[in-house]
Amino acid sequence: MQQSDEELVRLHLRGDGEAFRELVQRYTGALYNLAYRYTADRMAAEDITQETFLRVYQALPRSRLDLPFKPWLFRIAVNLCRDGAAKKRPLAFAQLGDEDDFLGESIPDEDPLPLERVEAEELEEMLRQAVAELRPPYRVAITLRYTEGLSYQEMADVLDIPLNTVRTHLLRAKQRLRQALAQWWGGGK
Amino acid sequence: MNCNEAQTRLDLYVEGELPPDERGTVEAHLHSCPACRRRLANLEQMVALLRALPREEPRPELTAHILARWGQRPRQRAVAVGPGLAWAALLSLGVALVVASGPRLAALWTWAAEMLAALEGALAGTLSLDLASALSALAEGPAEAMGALFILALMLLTAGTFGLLVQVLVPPNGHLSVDST
Repeated sequence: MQQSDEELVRLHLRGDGEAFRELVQRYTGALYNLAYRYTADRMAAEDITQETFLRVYQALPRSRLDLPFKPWLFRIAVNLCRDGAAKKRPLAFAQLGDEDDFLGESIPDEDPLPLERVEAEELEEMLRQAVAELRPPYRVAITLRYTEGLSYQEMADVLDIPLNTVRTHLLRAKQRLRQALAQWWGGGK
Repeated sequence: MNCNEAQTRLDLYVEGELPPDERGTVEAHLHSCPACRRRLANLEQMVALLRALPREEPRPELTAHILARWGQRPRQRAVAVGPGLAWAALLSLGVALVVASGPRLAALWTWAAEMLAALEGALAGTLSLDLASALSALAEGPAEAMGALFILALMLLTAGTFGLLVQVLVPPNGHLSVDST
């Protein structure tokens, strides 16, 4: 049976060199994906992934073992993404996203997605492109929720934002995606 | 609940984040409203698409590169050196100490045997208690005995320290990583 993240952390702190190796192998892909979704830059995503593990390695001896590992790991990665973005432009990640307030809380969606009219691969590529064009907070919210399976509360902890803001980010992200896929959604509506 | 009220809750309903009391209300509305059921189907479809979206994959060598950064290579073989080695070392140490302190231990054994024989004889009445020799044994014995006991205490202290060192230096899974490259 696979050991939990928290068990591996405990083993690592007791001197088991294999435990941290397992954590690195377990989360390299997830961290890279998260960082890439934020930065849209493969080199930057690799750097953030490496730096995240380095910081985790250094911080683990001082960390609280009663907290879940995964959200803590993602929080470090998200902060590194924000730091990188802050160097490129002064606006902080947590401040982004509110300029879309003009969007209504709902968009008419009377018709089902006509999947039968779209090849699955084509739709996946369109969705991937649409996600890439979302604002960074929305991209990260989509990734944490649907790729990594975090709960709303875990997302709030990772992103250090209120629970309601998590709800808003996800709602708006999905509204934007529906707009982006509108040509496949209800016959070009 | 009307359609507008339901619509604002459908997203959380799909996400499983709606409080239980509101779930029931939304479900009651959905039961009677085909339009909201279509909206629900759309939302569920969007969520399913997003969950199926594959991760962006890093270069295969990224994991090895990260591990190499602090000297832990992906290819390692583990050598078991745990309890077996510790006990073997402890036994060797004990044998060495016993051999080294053999004469003192032998003296202690002889003294104890003499005292026991004298006591047994006295108790059985078959041997008169030779007070002079008993007193002599009592006078000579403790000196040898204290020396032997000191050696024994030293053995226990050494063994305890060694055991503690083994526990600290050997990882809890009893494996030391050895780079096979």
